[in-house]
Amino acid sequence: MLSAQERAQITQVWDLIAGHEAQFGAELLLRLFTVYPSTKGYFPHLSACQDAAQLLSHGQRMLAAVGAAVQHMDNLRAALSPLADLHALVLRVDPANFPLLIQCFQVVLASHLQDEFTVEMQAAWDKFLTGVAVVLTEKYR
Amino acid sequence: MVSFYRLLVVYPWTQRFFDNFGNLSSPSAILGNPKVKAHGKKVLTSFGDAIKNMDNLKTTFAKLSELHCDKLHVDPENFRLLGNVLVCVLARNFGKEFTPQVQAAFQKVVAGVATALAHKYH
Repeated sequence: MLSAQERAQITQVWDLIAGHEAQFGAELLLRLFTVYPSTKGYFPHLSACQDAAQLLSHGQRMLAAVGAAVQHMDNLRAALSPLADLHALVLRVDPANFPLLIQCFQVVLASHLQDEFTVEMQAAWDKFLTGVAVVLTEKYR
Repeated sequence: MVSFYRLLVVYPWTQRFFDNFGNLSSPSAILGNPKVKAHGKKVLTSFGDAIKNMDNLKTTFAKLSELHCDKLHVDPENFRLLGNVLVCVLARNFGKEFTPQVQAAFQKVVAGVATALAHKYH
């Protein structure tokens, strides 16, 4: 359950990302592959050549989904249902990987927002992204 | 010190080890708490020792590992959480200079510290 203050923090940060989904998403993926090489296995075409255009394209897609989650913070299950199906039936990313992605997401936010990245923002986004990860892995079994 | 404060706020269940620290009821209470400040300093000094002894972490942290297991009963998962928070704080401070490669290097060090601190657990 997100408090009103947490919701405000989440929206505030998203407003800074909106419009730059591709750039943030590409950096997120690049960090993920660099820091946690084992995650590359889930993105074979993407991680092999690390073509900038492909990273931007896939990054855009991932961050757009995060944006959708922000729009539907109170009803993640319904909003992310197709993505949850995709992860359960097709992608089957081991749930242990989501905290790795979340850590990289926090680092992206921290390095871009710097002094503006307050502890309240970090806490709210960690809670929110963890909630998203729970929904995405809920249908696994 | 900032990392330790962030740990207690972002992952409030980590406060379970600090019942005798007094007021931890809000982010500002935690930030102003003198025991938090003192302990944060101790913890960050230890990370400094880690940087100086990167090839010898298990030996460097052997005594601390025993302490955290036998006396403090801290779940090693908490060491990983603190390491991640420390990396976020570094990212915040260094901004663009905190490239993926730099992040990878620091994540390796903090992971090494966490492993070293858990090494003597039984």
